[in-house]
Amino acid sequence: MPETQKMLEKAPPETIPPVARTVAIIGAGVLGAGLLQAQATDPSDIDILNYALTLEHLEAAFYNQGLRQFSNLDIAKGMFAVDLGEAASGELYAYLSLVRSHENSHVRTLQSLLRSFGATPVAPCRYNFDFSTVDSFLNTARTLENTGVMAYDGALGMIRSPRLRTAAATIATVEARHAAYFNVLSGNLAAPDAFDPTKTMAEILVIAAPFLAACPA
Amino acid sequence: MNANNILTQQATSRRGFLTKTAVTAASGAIAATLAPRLLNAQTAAAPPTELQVLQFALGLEHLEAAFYVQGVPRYTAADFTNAPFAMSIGSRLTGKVLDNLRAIRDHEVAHVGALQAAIRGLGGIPVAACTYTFQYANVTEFLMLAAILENTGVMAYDGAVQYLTTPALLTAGASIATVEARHAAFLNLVTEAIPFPAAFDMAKSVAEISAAIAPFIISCPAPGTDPGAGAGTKAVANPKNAVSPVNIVTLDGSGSTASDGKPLTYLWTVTQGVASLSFPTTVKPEVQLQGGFGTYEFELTVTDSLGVTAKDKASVLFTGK
Repeated sequence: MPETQKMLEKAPPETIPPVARTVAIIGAGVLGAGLLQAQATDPSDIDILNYALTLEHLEAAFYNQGLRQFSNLDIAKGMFAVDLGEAASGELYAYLSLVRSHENSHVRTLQSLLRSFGATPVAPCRYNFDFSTVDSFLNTARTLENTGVMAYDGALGMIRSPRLRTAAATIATVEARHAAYFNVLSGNLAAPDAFDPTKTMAEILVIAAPFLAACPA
Repeated sequence: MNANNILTQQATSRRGFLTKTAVTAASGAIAATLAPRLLNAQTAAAPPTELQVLQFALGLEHLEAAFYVQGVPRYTAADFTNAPFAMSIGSRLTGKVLDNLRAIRDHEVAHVGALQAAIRGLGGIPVAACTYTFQYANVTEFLMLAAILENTGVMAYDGAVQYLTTPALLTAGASIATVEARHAAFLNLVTEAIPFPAAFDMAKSVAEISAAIAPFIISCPAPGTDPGAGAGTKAVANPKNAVSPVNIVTLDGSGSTASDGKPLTYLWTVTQGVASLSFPTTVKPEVQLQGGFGTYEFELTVTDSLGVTAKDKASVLFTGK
């Protein structure tokens, strides 16, 4: 089956495409310790946890800021609400708030996991988000969630601890649920592929970089 | 506990179904169904091997694939726009339900094929599909049952990844798990349940999942020999359980291997359905499905330079007219 072939022949993390590698090195100046450590060719579980935390910080900050800026009424005027039924439309803001609470919960859990290993959790950065319109907020939400899925799917194979693999998987599937919801509300298939694509840490870094204004050393 | 009980329970407390489906079913008898060897591994308190995890996943995917392959063709787009839930979710989403269901069906069929190939790659004999019972009377019940299966699938994969150790298999497992989660979120949404009920999805054990799906299984074939596996000359006929909306399909025997590495000869025959094979002695013949909607089966016989033959079957569900 070609799918299996594709899945099983996924490039190992050390074979980062040259372009992505260069961007990663250039980007290193602005980025937090989590992503920096993640550039190691053979990341430790701590590196991967900090990498995940870096992404969850980004997502949590995105919803924390976005839902401060946009009200229930604003969201109801956005692209996701077009031709929605009464129930689905009434739930939009509540579901966005639920996503925010999940991302903040992921941050806290990853921080406490890192501390339980005696490691220092990476701090949040300052971020650049385009909140000029409610639709830019919703479009970015969709991008971030689908990126989160590719990041977890790409990292899971490198986690050594079985317990941490379970933790990461139970977060990954929640990110996938968020992504599916936003995909559907933007008129796309919930699941566009039979196998979600994966991305390496360097590839994710390229996607995340525009959102990062400055990260603590 | 049968599938009807689950549906009834689901109807009274939809939002609690994530816990209820698996937990209450687990208190019932664990039927000797899906893959008895897996349950043995579990009771012996030894962690399942990678091969056992893949077989377990394949059993689940067979179940899901059968559910959609049987059920999706029964409905038209109008069935969804006229369904009771249409008003509450709105025209834009109801208009997409059938597209999403077809995609989900194709995904489950692709997962079956990928897991079979991965199992053969580890030297295993892929478990065969069982005979299933799915009880639903209308489109709403169909979607609710689908939501149960998908949410169960998520818990199964989330519970199983700890036992996979090969990075490539872990990546494949994760990429399937998140797709099942996308399906689950969509089906929750259209059945008016919360698409993402918790910050962390639940991970369930092989025994818990096997118990949860037991009500859907009538009987399973005894573990047998894999016509496409083993040493020596091997026939591999594809596609398997493919779904095609068009009546021209290309069969593929290129995965076949000869024990001596020399070229094989190929012979394809139609074993079910009315179909016309254009070049039946080639590796990838085109076939025209002429009998209308239904399942078509084709048998590939390969012969190596020593005269040793091997057979495998390909199958296609034609969904057109």
